[in-house]
Amino acid sequence: MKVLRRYLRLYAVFFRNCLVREMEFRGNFLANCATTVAWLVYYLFFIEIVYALTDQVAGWSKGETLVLAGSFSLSWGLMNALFSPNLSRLPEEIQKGTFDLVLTKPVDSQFLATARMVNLAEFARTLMSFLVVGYGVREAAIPLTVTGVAVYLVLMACSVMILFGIDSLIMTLSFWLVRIRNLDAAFWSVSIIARYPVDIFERTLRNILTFFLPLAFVATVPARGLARTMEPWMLPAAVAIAGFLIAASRLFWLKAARSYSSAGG
Amino acid sequence: MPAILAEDLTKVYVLHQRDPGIAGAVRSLFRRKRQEVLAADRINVRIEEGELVGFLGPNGAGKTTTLKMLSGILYPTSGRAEVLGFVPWERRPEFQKQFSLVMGQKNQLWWDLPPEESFLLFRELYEIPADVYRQRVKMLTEMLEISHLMNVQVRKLSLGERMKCELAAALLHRPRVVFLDEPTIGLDVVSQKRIREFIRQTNREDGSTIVLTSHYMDDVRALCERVVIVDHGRVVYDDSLARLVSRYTDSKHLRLTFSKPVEQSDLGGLGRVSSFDGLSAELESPRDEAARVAAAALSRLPVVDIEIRDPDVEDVIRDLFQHRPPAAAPDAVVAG
Repeated sequence: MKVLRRYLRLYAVFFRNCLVREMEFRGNFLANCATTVAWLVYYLFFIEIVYALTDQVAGWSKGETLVLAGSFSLSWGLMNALFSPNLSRLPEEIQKGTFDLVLTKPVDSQFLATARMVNLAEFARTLMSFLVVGYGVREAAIPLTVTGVAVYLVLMACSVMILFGIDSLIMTLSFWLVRIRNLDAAFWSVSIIARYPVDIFERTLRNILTFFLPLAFVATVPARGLARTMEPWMLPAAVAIAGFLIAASRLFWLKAARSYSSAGG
Repeated sequence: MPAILAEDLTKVYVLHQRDPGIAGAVRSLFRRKRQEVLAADRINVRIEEGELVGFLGPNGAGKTTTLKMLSGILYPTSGRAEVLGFVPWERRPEFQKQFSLVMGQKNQLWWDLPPEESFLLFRELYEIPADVYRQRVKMLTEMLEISHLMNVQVRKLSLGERMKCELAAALLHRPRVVFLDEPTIGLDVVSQKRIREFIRQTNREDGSTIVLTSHYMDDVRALCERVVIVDHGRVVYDDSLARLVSRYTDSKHLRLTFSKPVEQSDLGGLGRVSSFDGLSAELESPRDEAARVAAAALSRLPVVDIEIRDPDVEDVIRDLFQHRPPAAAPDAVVAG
């Protein structure tokens, strides 16, 4: 408990510092907010156009697809708000050797390296995503129950953990490879596939996205969870996959921190 | 118990060599040449609590690698070390709360925020009680004369001001062991001096053990009674700075000033000429021949001034690094 309180207090300081900094550059902050929101709006137009032509895509109604789009954007937005700003800096810090100082602090190095930056503009996207999910729920006339919402929130937590786990595993490679921008960019390009229902893909790809690179659990499964079209194995599978990826990223990090070779003399 | 103890501390880096050019890059994808670099070679050092020791050595000698192992950043390849009784690379928080590492070339203050915000973060990181924190900030900022900078964004500070803030931040938790890696690099003379005084004061008032690396001999001369010289990953000297000169030199420097220009050829037979500009010259001669050389110069040349002195520490260290192997320095010269 004491440890948890300490880390929460630390996190509050990180958060505050990021807020102070964003306020320094208000124009930039507003521009970033606008960009993240525009990105989502653009996707909503796309959905509107598709469903102007048809009522269903691979069994997905417009409302359900909106829930999926909102869920994807929520997960992606949280990732970009909380973790990506840190993970994407890692190769540079390792290359320049500034990562040295992370290892000398009396606090968990993974926490310090992956939590200290928060991109507050991304919360605009988060907010907007909730609205889209709400719009989808109304459009599809999905009845909301306490259990339903609770399951959805668990699935969304798993969704963020899965994205974090995969990205963290990739970025941790930079301890050995140093420059891995391309690999990271490749993952993010591939992960955009998660904003489409996996059911629209043919079987092989669908299986890959479910079991190998589990992007189906980023948005498709949570959306189905909320819309109550989820199969019973999906909830435990989501929890297991998320747990596995978090554990793997942790173990990999510990190994990496041990073999860190520093830079700059 | 010594504050810092290193026994046969060794670090081997494995580098992957690559031939230049695109062909080399492609080839290296398939077959990489491994090259091992011995960055620290059986380093043995013992430093007592409260000492202020200078680590000297040319670039790439292994100073920073050694400091990084003692800070727990790097795992050694072999050997052992203890800092305040802890094995540094176990990275135990109890250890990390008691030491600090400052690297002149790597800053840890938030670039876009005033130093005070970073200080507050450090307060949380090191769990410094509020009253101790206040007192400590007041003391450090007064000593370093940076109180007025606490609300200015770090990016707007000059290099010297920033370094002072970095130092203050690193010492907020009153570390018992402090590693300073090139803390004065790139600073103007005034800032260097201020920081030097601060380091001495910290060492005295906190009773902290300080290990300092610097390229500026002035830093070392002003602060360190004891120096450890590292070259090619090995400790080649570990003793007082004062003894260094007498131990490793068997020469004297003679500085001559002439009343009218002379030719360099006129200096023939007077020993090695290290500088010459017509109106003055610097000579180096074996210690026991210095008197004879001086007499010869006075009788042969229009000398108006002559100065005979021991070589500077800089000269000695430079010679040491230019591979006059220290082992070959005859002990007989220890006379002083």
